[in-house]
Amino acid sequence: MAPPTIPARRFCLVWLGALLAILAVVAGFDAAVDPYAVFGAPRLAGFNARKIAAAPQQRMAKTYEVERIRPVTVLLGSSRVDIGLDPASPAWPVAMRPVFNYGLDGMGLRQARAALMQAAATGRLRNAVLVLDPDLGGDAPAPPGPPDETERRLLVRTGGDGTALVPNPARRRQHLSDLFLSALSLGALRDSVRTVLGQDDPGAADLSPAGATGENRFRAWAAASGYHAMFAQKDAANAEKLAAAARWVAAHPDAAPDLGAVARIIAFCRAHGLRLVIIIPPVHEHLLNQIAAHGLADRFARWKAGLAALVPASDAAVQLWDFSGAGPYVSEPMPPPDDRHTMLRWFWDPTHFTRALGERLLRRVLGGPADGFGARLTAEVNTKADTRAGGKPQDVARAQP
Amino acid sequence: MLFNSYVFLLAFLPATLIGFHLTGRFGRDAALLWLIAASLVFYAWWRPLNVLLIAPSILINYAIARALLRVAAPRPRLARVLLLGGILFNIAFLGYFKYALFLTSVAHDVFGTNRLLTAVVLPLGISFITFQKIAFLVDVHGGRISRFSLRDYALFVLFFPQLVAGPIVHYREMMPQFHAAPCRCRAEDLAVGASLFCFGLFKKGILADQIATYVSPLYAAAAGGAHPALLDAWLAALGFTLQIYFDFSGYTDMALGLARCFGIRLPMNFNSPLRATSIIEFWLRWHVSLTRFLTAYIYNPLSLALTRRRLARGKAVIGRRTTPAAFVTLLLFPTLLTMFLSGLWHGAGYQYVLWGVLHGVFLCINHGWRLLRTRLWPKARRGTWPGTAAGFTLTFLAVVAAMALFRAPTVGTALRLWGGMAGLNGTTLPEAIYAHLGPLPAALGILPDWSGGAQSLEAWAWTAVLLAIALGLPNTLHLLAAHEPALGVKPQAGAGWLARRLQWTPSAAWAVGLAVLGAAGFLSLGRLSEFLYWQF
Repeated sequence: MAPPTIPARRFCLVWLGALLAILAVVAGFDAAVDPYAVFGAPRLAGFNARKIAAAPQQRMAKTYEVERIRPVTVLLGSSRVDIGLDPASPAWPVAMRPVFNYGLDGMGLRQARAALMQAAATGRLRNAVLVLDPDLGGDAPAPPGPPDETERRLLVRTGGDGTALVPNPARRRQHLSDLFLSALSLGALRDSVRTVLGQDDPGAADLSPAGATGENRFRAWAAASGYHAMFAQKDAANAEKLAAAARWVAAHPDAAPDLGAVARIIAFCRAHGLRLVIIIPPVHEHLLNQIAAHGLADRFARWKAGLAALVPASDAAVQLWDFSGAGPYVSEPMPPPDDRHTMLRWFWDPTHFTRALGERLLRRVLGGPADGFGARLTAEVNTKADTRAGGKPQDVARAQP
Repeated sequence: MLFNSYVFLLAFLPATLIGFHLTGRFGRDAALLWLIAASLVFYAWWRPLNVLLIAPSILINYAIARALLRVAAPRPRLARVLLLGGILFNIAFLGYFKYALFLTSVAHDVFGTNRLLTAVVLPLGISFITFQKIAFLVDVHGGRISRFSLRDYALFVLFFPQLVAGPIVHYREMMPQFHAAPCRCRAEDLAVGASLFCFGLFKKGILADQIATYVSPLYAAAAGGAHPALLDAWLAALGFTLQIYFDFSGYTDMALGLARCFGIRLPMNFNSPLRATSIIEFWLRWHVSLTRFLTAYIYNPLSLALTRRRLARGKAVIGRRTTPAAFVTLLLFPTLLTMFLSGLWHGAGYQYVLWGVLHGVFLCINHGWRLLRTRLWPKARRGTWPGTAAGFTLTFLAVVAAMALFRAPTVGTALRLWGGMAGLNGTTLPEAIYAHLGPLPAALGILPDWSGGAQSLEAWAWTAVLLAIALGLPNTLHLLAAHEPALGVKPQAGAGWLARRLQWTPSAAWAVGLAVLGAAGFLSLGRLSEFLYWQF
């Protein structure tokens, strides 16, 4: 039976009223759930405490979360940092807390500097930990250009000599746009529903107020696909990147690693009185072997030596630590293809280290005892850096327990 | 300005509707001038230069049409020259802006010339506008249009709902409506118009744009040199077919709805084309206004002239005793030429031309089969279910395969996709599924795919949903048939049970249901995307 008809004028009014009501309800629901932590809505257990949909929007989410945390220490780097370094670790001295994990998937140095500026603009920042992705050649520095979306979102931008901070005029418009789209977009609605329904999902990412999205995703992937699949996938991706880097290095054999972006971050920290710890992260022997197999070990060593040259031992405010050498942690054997039960202790894949290893790394950097894991590099001891980085695959194999 | 943009929905459309309603109180002239002004703003929004490019073209066409009107009867030869000049002017205008780059690249490829243009500003919707202007001149020359003013002509060309992506309209079906329209926003028209717009916005924002997120990376990978495996290649072809159908038919629904808000009915453009049981039927259901134009202004005149010539020479024509020569001259040649031009109209690239020619070949095979079938089995029953099913399957596969060529950025990309569809690049399954099938996949030569398993499954699920909608549900025109949603569309006696059951009425249930669709469409605007047909 056809529904009863109403006059066209009333139809239009009902339609418009329903449309506006639906949009208002959606906006209210999204703001209450706050899937990307943009509105700063209270986190209620069982409803929206775990921000399980925020990981793909982490650039936006972390930019606003850092303003609420106002950290004393900020962690910068790629997904290695996001996953592997715990901002709530007991290793952090009280004087360095609160710590905010500003690690972002694929974060480059331009973004790292932007994140550092944002953290500094919140007013309490004293320390920064920067974990670098190895530069093996061909990584063109981000060209100067108009501010991207992440930079438009910042509280500040640089002015004058490049280290002074001035209010960012693009911020207000970007903020309004973020609020609008976080309330009235299909993606936000879908993610709000996912957030509410997925509070008990143990395999979901969870953006904590301190910034880290955690290891849940990797743990779930490892359980579902096994480490063999995770390593195979990453090995394939790394092989492509390394092949491209090797081609670039072959075409530019004399090109020195471009360390300008790192130097600018160091200069920024010095100008703002921040203590900076730069970390060359641990990588699994799979990747070390691949680097050597592509003939990039020398390039890796030159990059590390170049970094070390930026850090004189006399400068107590800037430290460089190298965890990329061979050793028992990085040679943990991979389970066989059909094994979905064995859990690795130190790595999720050749690139991403676990929080357990991140914990060891933090303890070492924060003054823990030397146990052969990690070494401090300075301009004065870069010979050591050369030796360590030039390690061959056989050396790695020999170092296995 | 995009229909699916905040500035259009929240500012332009309300302002234009209110302005139209208010100026209507001062008479028709004021309301129509308001519409022209609003259309110019709409057209200039993206790039103001567009107006400077299109305005002189409108004035020149208008002047040629006036001259044609004066000389058509007393000096028919001069009128023919004027018409030819007008057509050439429009083709040259279109040719420069749309095809200059392509032609220089063809010259470069063929002759090795080095004169490569690097940039030409392409006025928005130029292909649609040019066809309408040519049709107008032909109609004036043919005596089918005898009275028009500059205001009417400008409104005919610029009316914003159909300005940039059609439907391609004729002057003689539009202006009588403008002259008869009450120039007020009537509740009946707003109800139907808003309903059509909600359907369109939902089709565009939810159905088309969502499948695009799965399909686009597959084409990008193939364009980058990857050889897609069987399932990925079919997903690319099938997914894009559904994407472009919901994209363009959604856009058309929005255009129909917008025009209806001003009391104007535009001609229909889509009538569930993927249900066609022959390629001839497909073109009677897909982009109908383009087919209508190509048939009326290219195919028919060419076919008619060739038929007359053969008759004058005493040769056989198409009929009961069609000879191969008659088939080639009167059917194959005009069809291929028309579809070649159709392909070229769609885009300045080899792949578009080949797509058009491929459809021309499909049409010729279809025509040839019909002639052959009549001759071989004159008493065979038509419309049996096995024949219909075979016709549907063949047509669907042909359309889907050709769409891969349409979407691919290069012919090489399309060849890689076709190779994948033919199974030449092997078969893979998402590892999560592969691992649960035991030794069977390996025995069949299927390999595990380590990347994007969940996405691949989502994409296939979404494709199945879209396919069910496209093939199983009544289309917008069927749902609103009782309210003439498009020019001349009336309820059909043979409408299916579902179409009768779901007939749109001005009811609270429909109002709320369409508000849900409209809200979903509005929410989809957050991720801006362009209509696929804006580039044509």
